[in-house]
Amino acid sequence: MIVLKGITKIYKNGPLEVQALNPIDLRIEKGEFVAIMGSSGSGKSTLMNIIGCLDIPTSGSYELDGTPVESLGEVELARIRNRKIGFVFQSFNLLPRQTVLQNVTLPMMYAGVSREKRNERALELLRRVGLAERVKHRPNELSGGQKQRVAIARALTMNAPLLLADEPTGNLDTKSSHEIMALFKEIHAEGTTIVLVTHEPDIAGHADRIITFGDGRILSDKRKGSAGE
Amino acid sequence: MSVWESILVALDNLRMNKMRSFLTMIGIVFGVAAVVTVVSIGQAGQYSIMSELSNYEDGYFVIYPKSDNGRIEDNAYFRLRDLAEIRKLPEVRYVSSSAAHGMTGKHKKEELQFSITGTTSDSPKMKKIDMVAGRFFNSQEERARQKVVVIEAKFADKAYGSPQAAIGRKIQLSGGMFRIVGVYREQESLMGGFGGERYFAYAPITVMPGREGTNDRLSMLEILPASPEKMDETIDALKSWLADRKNVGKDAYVTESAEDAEQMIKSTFSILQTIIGSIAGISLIVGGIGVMNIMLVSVTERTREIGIRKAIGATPGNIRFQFLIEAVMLSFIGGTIGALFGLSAAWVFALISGWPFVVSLWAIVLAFGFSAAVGIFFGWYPARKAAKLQPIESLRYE
Repeated sequence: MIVLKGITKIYKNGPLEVQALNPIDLRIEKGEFVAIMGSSGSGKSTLMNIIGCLDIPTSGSYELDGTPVESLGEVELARIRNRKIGFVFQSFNLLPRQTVLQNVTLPMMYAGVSREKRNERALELLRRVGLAERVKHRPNELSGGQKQRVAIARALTMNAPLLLADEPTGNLDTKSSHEIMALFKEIHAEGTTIVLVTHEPDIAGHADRIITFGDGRILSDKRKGSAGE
Repeated sequence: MSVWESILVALDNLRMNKMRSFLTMIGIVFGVAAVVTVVSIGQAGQYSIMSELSNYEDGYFVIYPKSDNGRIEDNAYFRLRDLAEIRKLPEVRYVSSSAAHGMTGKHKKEELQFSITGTTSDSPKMKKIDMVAGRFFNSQEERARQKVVVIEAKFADKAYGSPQAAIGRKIQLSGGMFRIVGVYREQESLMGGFGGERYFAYAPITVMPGREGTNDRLSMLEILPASPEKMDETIDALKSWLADRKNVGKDAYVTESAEDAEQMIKSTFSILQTIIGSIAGISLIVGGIGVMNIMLVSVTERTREIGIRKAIGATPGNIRFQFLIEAVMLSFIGGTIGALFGLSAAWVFALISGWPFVVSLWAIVLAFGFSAAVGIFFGWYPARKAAKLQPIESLRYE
């Protein structure tokens, strides 16, 4: 599913160069549930952005679902983000002036899905995350947990094989966090590959595989029990 | 995402910033309103003058002695007796002369101002005189110096109740008692509204003051050539005849045809419209800069939104189109309002001036084309800026 070879990222800040990622080699198979842990500045978010095609590595090769990504242009990258990847962010990243329903239909709009099919699919997903009666609300009328569920519904609309979650519970209370993690497990059980960035060990504990980051390199890579196939 | 959906999204965004959108549009509204007003009024003016010119038969022209620093040689003037001889020239079909005289008339002890045009009985054959009752005076009456007059319908209505009732009545004018033989309708003139209330009338040139005795100078002649296409030949023949007859040079006379006047008016109007139109165009450009300014603000404000949209699959083209459509909608709505204002202004002007109200398709096409072009032109840069934003940096933007 994800094959990273010799991926590096160097940020240039004037004359200063910051090596955010040392050469990284990483393979994530289809259907895995991976947690990436590490303190802030460890490079885990940088890696996440590269996997999500939001950022481009300085060097190295990246193959996503069989497609070599590093050679793609902006239009193809946008298409990959649209079709192959669902994003869930710490700060939700919903469009504040659009309704819940509009937010969820947005990826389908860019994919050119017809209005009826979009609304049908969005309603189905909102029902699934338990927000069917909130479709006409705006994000600021929802609680943190509800916002994150809208974001998850949005990430699922295109049936993307990969779900990327960057600190999805970072802004949530314990109860909501557990609800969100239960939802992720459900989604994983249906066959979606999930990569989750967190610094909370108990959240990471939901995953089957935990990769720990530090100083721009992988410190450890552990599979839970014998499930390491 | 279809174009229609993009338009709806753009309208939604504009609605969310009502005050800002409204203020930005004002610039475009004024620019377009100015362009539409100027073009409409210009066309109305042109149309109105042209329709006056179309009252003349094809080939009609006037000839008059050229003045040298305001002085005209006495022998260059035309005389009454010249008319009969010029009429005999094979190139000339009709010849006449017209001169307006201010006269005071009396009707039921009321003093009225008249402008009486002394002319010949050939006059109605050279230009349109819209008779509503009776007839124009004839050549016998002209030769016999009979005091007959053709009055305008406005006066007939006022003094006698109807044009028909005026026929055969006598009216006291400064030149004596005149018998009314016909009533005509005066053309609505461009200048009709000026100079206070007075009535127009025609009378034989032979009975006008100063026509008795030898002092019968005419300052201009009106000519209709035998065939309209041969106007130049007619002018040439006439000038030769006059030079010979009056013992002056051939270049002692100048001619002016309805066609010349038409050309001159057309070019005058087009110059005027270009000048005023350019000034109006500048206000449109200023309006466009307003659009650009607000779009740049909007791009900055919505950096995070752009990041989110890109993260979930918007291509740079999607983003560019979204902002471009918004700029175009802004100026297009402004353009529509401006066009309505402009047409209203032209309509009010038409009511006041008596000019026709011409809905100029050209002006409307120009206004919409212009406003859409302004939107695209000034929306392009902000839209491009939005499209080029990096998704990851936009997402981090607070």
